[in-house]
Amino acid sequence: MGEVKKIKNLKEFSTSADRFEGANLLCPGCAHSIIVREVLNATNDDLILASSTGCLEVCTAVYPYTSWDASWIHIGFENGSTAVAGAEAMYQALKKKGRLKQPDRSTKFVAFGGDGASYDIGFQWISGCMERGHDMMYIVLDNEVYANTGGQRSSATPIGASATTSPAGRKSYGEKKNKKDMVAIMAAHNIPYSAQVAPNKWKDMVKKIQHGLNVEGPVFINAMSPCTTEWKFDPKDTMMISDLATDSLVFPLYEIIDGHELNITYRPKHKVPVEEYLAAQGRFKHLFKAEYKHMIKEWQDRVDATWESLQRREEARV
Amino acid sequence: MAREVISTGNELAAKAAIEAGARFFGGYPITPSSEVMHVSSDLLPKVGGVAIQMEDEIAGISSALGASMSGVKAFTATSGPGISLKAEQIGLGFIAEIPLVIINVMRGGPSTGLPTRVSQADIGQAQYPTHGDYASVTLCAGSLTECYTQTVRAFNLAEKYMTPVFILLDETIGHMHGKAILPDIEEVEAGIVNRATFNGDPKDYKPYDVPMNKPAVLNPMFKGYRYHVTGLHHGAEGFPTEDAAQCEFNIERLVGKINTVAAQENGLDDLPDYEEYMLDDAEICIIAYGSIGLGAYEAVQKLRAQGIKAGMFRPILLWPSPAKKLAEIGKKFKDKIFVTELNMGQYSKEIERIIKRDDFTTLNKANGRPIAPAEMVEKVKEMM
Repeated sequence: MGEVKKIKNLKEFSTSADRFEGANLLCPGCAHSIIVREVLNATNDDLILASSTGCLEVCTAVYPYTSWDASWIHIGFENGSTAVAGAEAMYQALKKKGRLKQPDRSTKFVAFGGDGASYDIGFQWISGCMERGHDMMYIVLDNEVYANTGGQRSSATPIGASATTSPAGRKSYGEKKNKKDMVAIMAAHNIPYSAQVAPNKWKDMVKKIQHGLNVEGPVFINAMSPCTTEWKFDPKDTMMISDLATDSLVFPLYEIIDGHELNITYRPKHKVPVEEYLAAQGRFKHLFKAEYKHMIKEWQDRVDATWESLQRREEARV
Repeated sequence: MAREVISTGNELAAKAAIEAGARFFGGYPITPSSEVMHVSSDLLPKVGGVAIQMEDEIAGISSALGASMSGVKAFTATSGPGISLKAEQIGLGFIAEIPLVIINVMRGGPSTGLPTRVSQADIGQAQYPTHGDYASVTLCAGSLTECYTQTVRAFNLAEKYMTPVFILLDETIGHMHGKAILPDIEEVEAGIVNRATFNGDPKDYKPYDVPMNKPAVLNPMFKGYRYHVTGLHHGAEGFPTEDAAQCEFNIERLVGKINTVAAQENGLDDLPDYEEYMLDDAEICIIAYGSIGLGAYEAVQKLRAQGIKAGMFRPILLWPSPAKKLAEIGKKFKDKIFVTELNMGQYSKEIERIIKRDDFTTLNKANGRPIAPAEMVEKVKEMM
């Protein structure tokens, strides 16, 4: 187990570029780089990283530059999880045989993937990694859309959002399906730790990442990553949108330990109506037209029901 | 009255699919083909069809195969990495004889390669996309108009020969925006081919009980004709078998229904398998296809303006290749043949196989950039 890094303050934390440089081609206002920096800066451990094909991978290593100051593998759209799993398995084998030069160093394995790479095409591979029990962390940069290929819907796209392949118009309010509950699915593998994090709640994020890196076995993290391009908001508003998401409980922050023990880690003091969250984004603009306005109440009801259910699970400890 | 439209290659391919009678699209986002899915998801519901964005490439083609088995014309669209993922199911299409159109908008490879840049490096992949023996049918669009007409043709060939058919676009053609002249919808509809069906007593129906070099007769589902579809070798009823004679017959028939028929009947249909451009009096033959053909027209004109009698041969049906015509070109132009393509020479190998010589000149590029007419002119001048 590695030594837990002490984080002094937000200024030092957010400006430190130890592992992930700010110079990259991500859109201005993209939350990906904020999240990745928060994750990498949360630890002093040696890191073996992988990224599935996606915005993060495309924009952070354009020859001859790289944002990554750590071992980093780019692999196909579906295989970030398995690439890291292979590296981890080999690391364990070498360690067992006494062939590591510095066996006392703390080395951690982390894979990043977008929601398309994780909820859809890479789903079975993550499941395999969780089931086999690799000592690794998988982090979804969940921007609820295929942002790298033109804004198509993914199974993380929430109901009512307009996307290229679920466009809103006269006959449709956009995406028709509710978002897949990946944290619950992954927790159902009875992994030691799974959690949701958001870039605006950096202390909560650091705590969860540090805990996740220090438990033995597979860890799953779903990180909300507001997408200025596809959610359609002003790049300066990334943190405002994040605040609206966590304070309206559209994106509740919680953790699940050993597949059953649920802890809510953030309770907003002032709960914001879901309507405010929806109104701040172009992808939900059509929901404010008369014919789709019923959707807003349904959204609120659904968010309330999920929150209620999370609270009940927290109380029940099952 | 022909129709004049302003569109892109990808949009035209999707439009063509629907006008050729396709009612199902199953696919997955991938650059540079995603627009085919966008347009399909817009247009198909309007004609009572279905477009589904599936969770990955394999699911995309599998859903299209399922839809096709039910009797509907179905298609999928992707790029090279997607074909790699779909490979196993393409094989099912070959052995079970399920008609399907696969639109591949080519980008640089291997692996993730050059997602936003042009390439023609999937030519070889289209010939042998999956394991085992079979014969591929592959069309290659060389203009915006052909993105439409060849996609229509792909559906007709798929239904006629009961097989997956590739239509290759490349990034340049797929994203090119301009005027295209399309045939009348009446003309398109008059040429539509629908798969053969068995109309006798269901008890007598044996989908794979067909003679050598003939395609299977797969009746649409939900009509009372029961049969077995499998990726295993199968007998007349479709049930799995390991019988040596039957397996040998199956493979000979799968290959023969395409390759033997194409050789005997000079192609797979009555439409042109290639274009000859100013070739009659030419002393130099440029061979190019896809978007590179567009540059070759200009190269021919420039060379002629400089007194060099050049012409172009542009294959449209890449697989099975127009072997007879290529052999004639080999004889006529001898070493004055210039092959130019956006890969390391994948079609040059086919030309070499046919003309049984390798004394022709090549200009290959695999860096994601197109080949400019000026580069072709320069190379041809070196040959003189």
